[in-house]
Amino acid sequence: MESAMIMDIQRYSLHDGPGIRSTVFLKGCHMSCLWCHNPESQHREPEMMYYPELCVGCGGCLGRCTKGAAGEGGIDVHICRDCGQKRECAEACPAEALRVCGSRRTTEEVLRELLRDRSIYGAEGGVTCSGGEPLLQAGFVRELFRLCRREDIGTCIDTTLNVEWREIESVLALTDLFLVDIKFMSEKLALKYTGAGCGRTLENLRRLSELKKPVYIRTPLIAGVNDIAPESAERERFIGELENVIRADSFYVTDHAGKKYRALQRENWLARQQDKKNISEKGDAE
Amino acid sequence: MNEQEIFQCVQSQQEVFRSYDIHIPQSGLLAGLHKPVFSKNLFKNAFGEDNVHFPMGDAVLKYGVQGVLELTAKRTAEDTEKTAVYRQAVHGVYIGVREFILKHMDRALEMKRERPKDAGRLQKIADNCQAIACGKPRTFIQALQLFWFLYLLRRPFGGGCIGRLDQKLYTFCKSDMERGAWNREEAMEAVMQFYGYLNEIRTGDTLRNLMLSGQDEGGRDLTNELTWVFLEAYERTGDAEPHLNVRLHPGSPEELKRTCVRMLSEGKGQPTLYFDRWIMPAMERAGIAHTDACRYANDGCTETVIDGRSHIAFWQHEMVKTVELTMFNGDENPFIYPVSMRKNSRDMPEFTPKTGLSTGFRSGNIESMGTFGDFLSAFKSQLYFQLDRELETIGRKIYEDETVTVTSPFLAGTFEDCLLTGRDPLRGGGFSVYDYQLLSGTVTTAADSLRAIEYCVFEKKYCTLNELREAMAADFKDREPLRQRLLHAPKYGCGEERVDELAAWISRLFIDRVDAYRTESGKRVWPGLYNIDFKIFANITGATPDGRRFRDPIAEHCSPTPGAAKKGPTAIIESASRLPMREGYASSPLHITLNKSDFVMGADREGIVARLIEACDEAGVPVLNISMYDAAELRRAQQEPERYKDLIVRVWGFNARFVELDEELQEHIIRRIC
Ligand code: SF4
Ligand code: SF4
Repeated sequence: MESAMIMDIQRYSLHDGPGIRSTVFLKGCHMSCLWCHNPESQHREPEMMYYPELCVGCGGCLGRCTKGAAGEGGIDVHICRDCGQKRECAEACPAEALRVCGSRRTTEEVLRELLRDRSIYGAEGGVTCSGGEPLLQAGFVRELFRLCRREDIGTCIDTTLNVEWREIESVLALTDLFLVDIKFMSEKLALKYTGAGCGRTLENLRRLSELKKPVYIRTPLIAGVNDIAPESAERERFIGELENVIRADSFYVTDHAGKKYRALQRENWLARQQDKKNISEKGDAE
Repeated sequence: MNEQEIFQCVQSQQEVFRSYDIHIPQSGLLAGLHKPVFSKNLFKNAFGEDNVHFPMGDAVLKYGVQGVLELTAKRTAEDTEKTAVYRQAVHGVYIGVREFILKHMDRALEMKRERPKDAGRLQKIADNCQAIACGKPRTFIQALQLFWFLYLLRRPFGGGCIGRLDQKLYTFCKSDMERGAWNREEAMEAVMQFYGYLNEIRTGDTLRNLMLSGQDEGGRDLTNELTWVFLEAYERTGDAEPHLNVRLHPGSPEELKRTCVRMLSEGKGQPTLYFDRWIMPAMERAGIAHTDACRYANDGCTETVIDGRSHIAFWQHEMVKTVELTMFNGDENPFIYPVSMRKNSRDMPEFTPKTGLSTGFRSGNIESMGTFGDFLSAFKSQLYFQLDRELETIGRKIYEDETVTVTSPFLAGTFEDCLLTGRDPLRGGGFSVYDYQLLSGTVTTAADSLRAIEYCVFEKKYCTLNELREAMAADFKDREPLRQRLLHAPKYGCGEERVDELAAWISRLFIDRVDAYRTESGKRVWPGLYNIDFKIFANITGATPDGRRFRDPIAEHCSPTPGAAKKGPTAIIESASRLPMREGYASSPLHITLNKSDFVMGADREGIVARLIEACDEAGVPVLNISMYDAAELRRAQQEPERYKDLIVRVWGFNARFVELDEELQEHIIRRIC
């Protein structure tokens, strides 16, 4: 039986494909989009997250930690990274201010959760595998979708498509719908903002189009970067050439994940952009 | 009441009728409107027993006011002293009713003389008044006019249950159609005027429930032209009143379901849905005849009544407080202090609620409880003790109603059996079904509390029972880490089997105990997993083992404790499916409050609402209310009430303008959003 590193299973998802869905978030991604709204999904391994706003200062963690991660100012989660005690420490925190994100779960365990809403999905809804990049754990997705098919549950995958075609091919027949982000048309911008090129994504999208596999396209917009020509025009033309697009949405990226960046103690690029903007606006005003 | 008192009542009733304004509108055909009059004494003297929580009978629509007067004019051969007097009382009151209607006729004619340009309309109003005062209503407009006059007269505060008006008035609509005289637009305008008046008089906890559709004895669907008119009029006006309810069953037209979905997707919590296939069989299992069950409607809130055949009286059990009494061995949490509060609206008077439970029953000292099972047994005995006392109270009331209570003669006159026999509706004159209910919602917060004890004390051993009780007695002051543990214990509404099982166990204990009760005359009490006073309960129940502090919210009905449903509405439905909701036929509603801001990026709002409704029906939810708010918008409305006057929200059995609710209820509603 396959297993995968799972970040979360979210019931009643309305934005990961049509209808009411349950979304399985697989942990691990090979890209590093600066605005990522699921930063906790990027690393494959379980991670400690510390939410200072929930901490009630009981000192429970202080007494436990032998590595010097826990101090008066809270927890330094970078130190927790390679520590084998994460789950025990999280369990010791009464307020769930300390949480471990990610656990290995089998397809069977995950399916059990998904079946809870079996009668609610209807013909429209179903299950979505998202992440991170779910196709980095394609074997798991394939087996899970096979089980879903057996239960007559619709399947959908939210992917960067920036993987080898054979990984995509391995789930193709079992997937009803692909949700794909077109972030950039230019390789240079893609490298700068996502840490990876965009050529393979676009190429794989074309192949999906040839196979008439339904896709939803979504474009995260960054003001002044990819909402202007030539990016916007090229993107439009590209989408226009595809024959499998059921809907295409775009939305400006916003700082929704601030709390999570803080809990991971990682830099939040979007927040920094916002700060810069505020400072310059203030400068302009003065 | 003796003879003299009855006639005093008639006299004061007539006096009250005389004090009402006579109102002929500037446009439209519906006459009659007066500002609410509040006076406790006046009610008592003038009206006799009538809590206005149930629909009036249909006899006046059938016979007309004149017909009522004729039927009650003379003593009949079968009359006893008592029935003769009662008959005479009804007669006296209806003389006042006729006078009231004729005054409207006179005023309309007077206005006609002053305004020749508007003569046609004013003459029509006068004709309608004359027709219903001196004969029987012949047209839909006349029937609606008569209903409206009676509705206004029933209670001076302009509130009260409406009932199945699409069924009550349909014969008139049908006969209009048969004569080729049905004017849909005119009917629509009159209905909109009726709604407009309701909103003008008062909004909020007004008991104005309008029940639509349903099925007949042969299972045939009863959706008719008026069902559509009443729904469409609401879609056109969209204010807080009246409170709409629709009965659905497997034979309901698709169009009706689609209309409900469309309206619910507006997010105002209208209409509330009732599923016949769960409610009627439970009623019938409890001995209510199929012919009666077919006529069910809801009362002023969500409780079931048999339209035209029952009145209603209900009591509420404090389930979460029962956990408290178990914890403190029959005493209240010593931390509790009296709280002055308002029932729901900002302009209501303040009062200081007290528990209705009896203290002092020693269900067991927690020191001697070694297992969770011990605690559950103690809880069960505390619960049975309280329920038995409550049932006794209800039994006493039933006995009183069987023997001496005098129903308002005005109300009695709307029941055919009363007109024919001269009997009080309570004793053979109309209420052929006795509807006395004991309700307990909040089983969910009670279950959260029990599960927290099991999880934190007996499984994880974070504390002992003693320490928990001490923490509760301190309202968790300086016990925040423990409170956090309790808050993070599994909660109902998240699809967690064990806590749902406990909620089901409590519900079963409650329903079975109520079901087993019989009065000396063999009458039953109807059980329901429902409560309206969850806000009062929050202010009289100290800290609870689920981590809730004194005065923090308590759940309503079968819904999760506000803030506890962390996994969204499908998990709530999963939890609810484990409760024996359909056995609580007095009403066991589920409220689901969706987050409006979730519906972006192409999320198909109506499709999703439709799926949730179907899922609830499949899960055995008998009564469903789905509303949809945006927390940020509600917060803004709190800041700037002036700008959000039209924001309608669902409270318990009613809808209200959000900005008119008191702050505690506003908070409760914001925390419900999942
Ligand atoms: S996980 Fe390891 S490093 Fe982190 S707080 Fe616990 S003991 Fe310290
Ligand atoms: S155990 Fe949790 S609540 Fe306590 S000090 Fe550490 S992080 Fe804060």
